[in-house]
Amino acid sequence: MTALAHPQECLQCGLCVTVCPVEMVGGHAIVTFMADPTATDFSVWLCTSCWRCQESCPGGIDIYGLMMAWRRQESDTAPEGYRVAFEHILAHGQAMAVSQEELDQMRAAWGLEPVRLPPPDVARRLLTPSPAVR
Amino acid sequence: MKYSYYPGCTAKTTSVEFGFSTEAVCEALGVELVELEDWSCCGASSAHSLNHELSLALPARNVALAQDTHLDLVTSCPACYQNSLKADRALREDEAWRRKMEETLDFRYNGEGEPRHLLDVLSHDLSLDEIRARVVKPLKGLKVAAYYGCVLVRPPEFTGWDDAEHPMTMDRLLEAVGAEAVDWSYKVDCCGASLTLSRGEIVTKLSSRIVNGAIEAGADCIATACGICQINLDTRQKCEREVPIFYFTELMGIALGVSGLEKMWGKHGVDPRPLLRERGFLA
Repeated sequence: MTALAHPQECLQCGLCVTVCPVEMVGGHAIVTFMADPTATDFSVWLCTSCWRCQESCPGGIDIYGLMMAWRRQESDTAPEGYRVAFEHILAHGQAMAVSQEELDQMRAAWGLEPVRLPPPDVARRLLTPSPAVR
Repeated sequence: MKYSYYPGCTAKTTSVEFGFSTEAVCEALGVELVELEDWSCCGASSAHSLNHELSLALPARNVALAQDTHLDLVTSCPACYQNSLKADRALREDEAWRRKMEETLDFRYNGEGEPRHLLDVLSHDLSLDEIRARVVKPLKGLKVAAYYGCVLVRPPEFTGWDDAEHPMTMDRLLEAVGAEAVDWSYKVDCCGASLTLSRGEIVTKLSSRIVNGAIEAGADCIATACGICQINLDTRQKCEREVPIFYFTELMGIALGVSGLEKMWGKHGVDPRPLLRERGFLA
C-alpha cells in the first residue's frame, strides 16, 4: 500500500485509537497508522464511518478525509461489497442491487404501492460534462 | 407545514417499514411530505470511498430538484441526510464546484431545499405539546433506549446536532408519546455500519455491546433512526435475551394510532409482537 503522508499536525497521542470501535474489538483501522506512521497491519477499508476519531482529535485533523483519499488511491483493493455497490451506481443509478420486478414483488408482499426506480444512467450523466442532464 | 420528502433507497426497499411509518406519522401529525419528483440515490457509502466527485454530484442533483420546490428537503435516512448536507455545503462554499454543478444540472444554486433530518423537523418545527395532543394510545410503561448511532450526530460541527455525545431529540419525542426513555451509555456508539457486508464478526460484537447496554439500562426495546443500525442491531445481536429494535417512527405510529403498522411486524428479525401484546399495544 502506498502510504499517504502522515499529517504534520498529528501528535501521535493515540486518542483516536482509544475511541475507534473497530480497534475496540481487535481490528486495525487507519487510526493505527495515525498513532504509528510505520504501522503496516491496518486497513483503510476497516472503518465504519463513525467519526469518533475525528471528534476526539486535539489536532483537528480530517482523519476521515485522509482515509477516503487513501481508499480512492487504493480503489483496486476495495472489498467486494464496495465495488459491487459502486458499479451498480454507475450502471443503474443506485447502490442497491434491486430490479424493478423484485422491488414490485417485495413492496406488494408488504401491502405497499409500487414505486419507480431512479433514472438508471444518472451517475454517468453527472460525470460527463454536458449541460442540462436533469 | 409542508416539506419536500427524500425517502432514499432503503426506505423504499430493505427498510419499507421505516418509509411507511415515516409517511404515516407525518400524516398523523399534519406534516405534509411531498415526495421529491425523480429523486436519485445519494451514492451511499461506496461513492465517497471510490469517487469523490460522484459522491457530491449525486446528492447535489437532489438538492437542485428540491430547490425548485422552495421547500426544505426532509429525509429520515441519516446517510442520505449527511450526504445531502455535504453536497449542499460544497455548493455553498466551493465556487468552482458550484459553477460546474450549475452548468451540469442546469440550475442556479440559491440555498433553498435545505437538507434536514426528520428528527430535527419533528422536534423543532412542531412543539412537544402538539405531538402530545395527537396521542391516542400512550406508550405507558414502555421503556425505550433511544439509539442515535453515528452518522446522524457526527461530526457535530457538520450536522449541528443538539449534542453529539448525549443527544436528546429522539428521547423527548418518545417521551411525548408516553414512553419512558431510559438513561444509557450507548446512544451514539457505532453498530458497525456497512462492515456488515465485509466483516460481519466485527458488527456482531459492536451491535451486541449496544443491545447489552440497553438490557443493563432496563430497556424493553431500542428505537433507532437508521436503516443499517436497525438491521445490524436486529439481526446480529447475541445477548441473554432478544430485544426488539424499532424505528422511532414505528413507536410514534403506535401511539398516534396509525393503521397499517401491524402488517410489517413480521419483517423484524426479533419479533416485536410478544412485547407489544404483553403491554396492550397490540390486540
